[in-house]
Order: sequence, then structure tokens, then C-alpha cells
Amino acid sequence: MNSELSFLYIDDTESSRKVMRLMLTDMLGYEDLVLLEDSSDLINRLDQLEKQFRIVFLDINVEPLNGYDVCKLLRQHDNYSSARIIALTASTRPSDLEKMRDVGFDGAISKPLDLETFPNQLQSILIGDVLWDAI
Amino acid sequence: MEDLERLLTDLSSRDISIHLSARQALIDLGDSVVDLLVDRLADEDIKLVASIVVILGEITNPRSFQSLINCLEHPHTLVQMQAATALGRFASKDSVSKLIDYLPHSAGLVEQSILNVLIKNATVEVLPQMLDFLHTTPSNVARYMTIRVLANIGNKDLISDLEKYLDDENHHVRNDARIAIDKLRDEIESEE
Repeated sequence: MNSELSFLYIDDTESSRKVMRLMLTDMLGYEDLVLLEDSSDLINRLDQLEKQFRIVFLDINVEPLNGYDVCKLLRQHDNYSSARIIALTASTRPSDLEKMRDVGFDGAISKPLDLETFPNQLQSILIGDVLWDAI
Repeated sequence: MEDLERLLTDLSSRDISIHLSARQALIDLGDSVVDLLVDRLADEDIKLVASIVVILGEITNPRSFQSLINCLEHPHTLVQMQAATALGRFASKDSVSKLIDYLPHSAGLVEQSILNVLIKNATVEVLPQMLDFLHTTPSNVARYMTIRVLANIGNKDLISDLEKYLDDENHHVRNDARIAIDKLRDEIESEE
């Protein structure tokens, strides 16, 4: 398993960002994690980081650009067009899941993160499985 | 014993597949490894300790109960959170009452983990403590999560208490209060 995986998580809720760091870094040992609290000026900020994120977790309700628009933006960018982009959402409505698929998400995970199942979800993401039944 | 030590070592692996395989293998061993796992809760490796807490929560052997309670005061937030979740798996009145004793908690994330457990497991016996917590917590997150706990307890006398939160400053609290009140009113109507 590649221990140099880069993760990006965008969420405006501080507690959600803390939980993600606890799980990805403290629990699972992935230290290369960037946390952003909003989606403002996103591409410029990401370009300055000079990273190629392998996995992007995205709160669907982030602002000013919401998660759908952020996903579309990332898919248009060479650096992120092939990244695994996963939505974090409390919504399980079929119409919302359909919209997520349409804009290019590779899956969705329930918010708040389930501490017990997140490692299994992450494993699925890393081996390229889809996660549409995970919520 | 060598195999068990290998599994414990694998729990700390940076390879997520190895970590998950070891976790499941220890869960499958069940009651036979509880005492060994409890002993290892004193380890300094946070990843190992947090993983053991998860495993003990899956096994739910009573011999691990007090150790999991002690983990609610572990120095590391992750271990505290996992302990709350693990205790929730016992789904007993004892675990619920112990968890409520830790409210309010200085670490918001641990408080939320406890409330997540209570949403699924709280019963009418803990109503007074939950109401007291609702009325006194300064945390918006704790407030709307407690409203969800109360909604699931499902006592119709709660409606007047919950109505006070329909004009809360926080929109999540207002939204959850509305959902809770509607749920309780639906339950009253279905009983009539």
C-alpha cells in the first residue's frame, strides 16, 4: 500500500475536519492530509500546494462553491481529473445521489463519519470500488 | 500466542488491508482474546489502543466493560471517542447510564460520540438528565444531537420543551426541533 498517498478534505465544520484527521492520520497513519475549511479560490490554493491528491473528500454543503460545483471544477483540472472524489453527505435521497454521479463523484459517505466503518470504506476507495451503497 | 502477537502487530500496520484483516481476525477469536486485549489497552501506540477498543466493542464481553469505561478518560481523544462508540455496542442500561455521566465532556468530539450512542440507545429513564443537558449545553452541535436523542426516546410530554428550540439561534437546532416535534405528534396521532 502506498504510504505517500495525499488526501484532501474540504469541509466548513471544524469538528468534521478534526474527526477526519483523527481517523486518517492518528488511526490509519496517513500523514499527508490537507484540510480546507471552504472552497473559495480553490484551484489557485491547490496549485500553490503543488500536490497531486489521490483522494479528495468533499462535504457536499461546503461554501462558497458547493460540493457539486467543486467536483465539476476538479474534474476539469488535469491534476485532479483522475483523483477519487468522494462526497460526504447526510442526504440519502436518490435524486441527490444521482446528481453526485452525474457531476463526477466516485462515491458518497455518510456524515458524521462512522469511526468503525470508515477504515473499510477507505479500503474500498483505495482499491477502486464504488461506494454508492455506503449510505 | 505468536499468532496473536502477529495480529496485534498487524493492527498497527500502515497497510489498511493488513490492519482490517487483523482486526477481523481478532474479532472472530472473540471471548478467548478479551483478557489479552484488555491488557494491551495500556500500550503507548494510540493506533493499537484505538483498534483494540473497536474490537472489544464488537466482542462485547462484560469482562472488558470497565476497561472501556476507563478509556473514556484516555489522554487521546480518538481513544475516548472509540470507547464511547464501543460502549454503545453493549446497548445496555448500564452502558447508557455510564455514558451520560460523562456529559458534558470537555472534548466536543467525545461529547458528540456519546450523543451518537444515546441517539440509538437512550430510553425514558434518562429523560431528566438529557433535558437538563439540552437546556444547559452551550454547544449548538450538542443541542441538536440531544434533540435527536429526545425524539428517539419518544415521550409526548417533551413537545413543550422542544418548542422552545424552534427559534434557536442555530438553524440545525431549529430544524431538528421541528423534526422532533413532528415525529412526536405523529406518534400521538397514531396512538389515538
